[in-house]
Amino acid sequence: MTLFTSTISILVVGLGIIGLILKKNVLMKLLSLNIVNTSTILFFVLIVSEQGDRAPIGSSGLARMADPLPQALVLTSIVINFGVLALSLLFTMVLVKRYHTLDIDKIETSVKRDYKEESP
Amino acid sequence: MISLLVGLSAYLVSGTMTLIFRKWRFWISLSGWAGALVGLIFTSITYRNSGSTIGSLGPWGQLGIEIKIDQTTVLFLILAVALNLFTLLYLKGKKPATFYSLYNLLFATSFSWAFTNDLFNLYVIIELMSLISILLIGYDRKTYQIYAGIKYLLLSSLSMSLYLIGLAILYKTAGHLGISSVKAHLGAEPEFAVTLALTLMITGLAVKGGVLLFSMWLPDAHSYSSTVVSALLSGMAIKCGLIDIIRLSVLTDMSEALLVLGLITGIGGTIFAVIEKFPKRLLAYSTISQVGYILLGISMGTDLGITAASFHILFHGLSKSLLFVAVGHGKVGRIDLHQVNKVSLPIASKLGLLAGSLSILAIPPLDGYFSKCLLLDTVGHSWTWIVVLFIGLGTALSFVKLNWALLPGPTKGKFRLDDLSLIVYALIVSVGGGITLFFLSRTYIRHLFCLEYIEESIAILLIAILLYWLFKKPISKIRSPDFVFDLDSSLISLFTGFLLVIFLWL
Amino acid sequence: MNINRLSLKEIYVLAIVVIFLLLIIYAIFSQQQTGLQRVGGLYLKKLGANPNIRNYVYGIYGMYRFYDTLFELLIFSTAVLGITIFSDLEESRESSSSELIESHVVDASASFLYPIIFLLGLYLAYSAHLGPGGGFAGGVIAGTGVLLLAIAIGADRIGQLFYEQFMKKVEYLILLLVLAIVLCSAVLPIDIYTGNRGTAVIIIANLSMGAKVFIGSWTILHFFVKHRGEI
Repeated sequence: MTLFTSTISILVVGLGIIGLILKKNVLMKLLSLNIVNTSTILFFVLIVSEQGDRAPIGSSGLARMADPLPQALVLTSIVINFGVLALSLLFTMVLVKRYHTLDIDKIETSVKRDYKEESP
Repeated sequence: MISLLVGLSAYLVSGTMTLIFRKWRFWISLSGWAGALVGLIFTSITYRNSGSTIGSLGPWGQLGIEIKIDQTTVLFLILAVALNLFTLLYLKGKKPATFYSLYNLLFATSFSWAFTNDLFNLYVIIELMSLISILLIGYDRKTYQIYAGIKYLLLSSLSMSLYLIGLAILYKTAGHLGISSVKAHLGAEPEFAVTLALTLMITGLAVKGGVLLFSMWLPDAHSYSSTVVSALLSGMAIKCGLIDIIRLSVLTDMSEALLVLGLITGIGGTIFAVIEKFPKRLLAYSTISQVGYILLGISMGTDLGITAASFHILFHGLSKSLLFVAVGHGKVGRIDLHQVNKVSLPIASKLGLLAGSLSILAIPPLDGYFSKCLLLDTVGHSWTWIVVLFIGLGTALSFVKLNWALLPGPTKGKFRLDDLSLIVYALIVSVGGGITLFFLSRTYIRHLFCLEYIEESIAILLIAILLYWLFKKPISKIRSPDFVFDLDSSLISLFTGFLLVIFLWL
Repeated sequence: MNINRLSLKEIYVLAIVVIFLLLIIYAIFSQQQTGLQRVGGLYLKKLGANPNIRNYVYGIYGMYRFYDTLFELLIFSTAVLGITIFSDLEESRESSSSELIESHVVDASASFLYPIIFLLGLYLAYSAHLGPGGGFAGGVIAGTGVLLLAIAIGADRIGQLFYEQFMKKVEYLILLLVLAIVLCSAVLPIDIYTGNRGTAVIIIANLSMGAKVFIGSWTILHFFVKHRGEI
């Protein structure tokens, strides 16, 4: 059962990667990156668990508790993804304000032209 | 453990205090450096007394976070402390306070990743290092800097997600997070799932470490950012991925994969460097090819190989940062090397450029000679040795090209106090390594000063000068393929590289 | 990306990602079950003996691996520091009005809802060692409650009500407090997490993490609200 759910989360990771590479809109790329990060966290929690585990809190009895270590690790990971999302949105906002377009190809050509034209 | 906490607290305290007391930012950062120097001294005393030790942070044994002190740690800390002092004296309060707090936080993270031996702590520290780096890259808010920052952030975040997937599969098999505990629980012949997990983790680390197919963000990020930031990133922040590959290499035998990656990186980086026309981008490509050397050293699998890689990390970091600061000091980062005729540079820039180039070209008695000799010792006399010599020839060609255009111009400018720190640093890079090794063990030095290696280095340099003088026109006509470093192409080459490694390993 | 006319690059990308996924799925299914005692089980046993902590996940990230939590807080502070560095960007014309939504219903409901949300955030941050929650979830909930208030009365008045300038300086001192707790737990030979002293240390750590995340998340939300606009 957990193998099946882990497979689903890996498929979502794959969808996110395809979206990250093939989409032309910068905001869509950022959202796809967020999908990849979140489903990685889901995969981590799912692959270590077994069916019938209880939550690792003291009052639910000592029968067969889930492994608490991956859950502590993904708490850290969620905060890291929040920080990455905030900074990437900030940088995209600054870039889009200058160029008034969301298309990655147009942004790349404008950036290369800016670098060559600016005096050292 | 005490040494780690001393250095880390010194940098964190100075990093937060610069935000509260903004006027004294230079003196607060200098006291942070003093604390780090104390940490370095404690670490070297611990290493000298008891060799490589593995401990844990806190009194809990296996349940805490594992840390390791060995030769790589001490050498990397020397690099961090030296770079800190040099860039602090070069900057001297010119930038606003938030730059100094980011700067101190970067050194705090670098202090930590030298010690850590725990798989999840590695992930957290590397993520912190990437966030600080992109803020430093985009600090001056030019559009090309912000674009380089976004590209780096997307690639780095994706690569760390791949690392986390690999860690999940590895944790399910091995059950522990500290590297020595995992090694004890892993069999001699790992199954397919463990091999795939390790490949995913190496992919994630290679993106940060500057390996060719994986880290295509590197030329843009290191050439677009400002001078001191380029020097710090190229000299120090790249090495985090490499140090962590060294730590992971004890888990299983990964010689073939790392050998092929090292060869591709070395050769590819040199070819890109020879046909490049902007000086800062040329230096970034040269960083990639030197990372190839380090990977070759690690892939040999012996202790001597890891020693060679660690020494090359130290000496290359020092020389490359000197080169970046020398090029930036003279403000020649963006001239066209194929068409320029007479460029006027201050005397400190010229001296720095000469010292850095000779060190990377491995001319005795400069620093780079010793690390290259260690590497040639490790490789032995096989076909790999021929490839190493070929990469050396390519490196010599690119640096001859750089110096040919920049050195012969008139020397301008009055001698200011800024230049003094650059000249002193150039001197330290040139002869400091040799003198230190001389005092540490004389038999070592005598062995390394063998005639064969000296002849090889000088012969390579002379052949490169001759080739460049003959082929100057055709080289300048080739256009460098910049489209390979766009965002989509970088992502595609990441996955191509991953599949290459996994099929090599099977 | 039209299904009928896929270019060569798109076919190559789809092929690479499909091979990547198949390799990982094969690895997951072929992984052998070792009867190994994982280190998570050891944590459960040791934490069962400490009566202060009932949430075992907190026991791991708040006690044994608190060093990781220190770096996590540093990541959060770096994100907030990045936002403050760029906070003097020019605003667009549309966002110069101070109130986001002008409606009596929003005003009335926000002014009685926000204390409840704030109190919920405070409770979650405080009781991290007794149940699920923790400093991060509590801080973000409190920050969102303040955002609800900002929708009603305007974001600039929030700065005066909550002493924003002072809070920004306090945020960095909280980081030093967390660093001091890490140093004490690592260096002192006694275990500081047992007994009444242990409960005090745990509550101080929880509240400091909650306060730091609250200030940071309000800064980030305020910045993105102020700089909304068109392409």
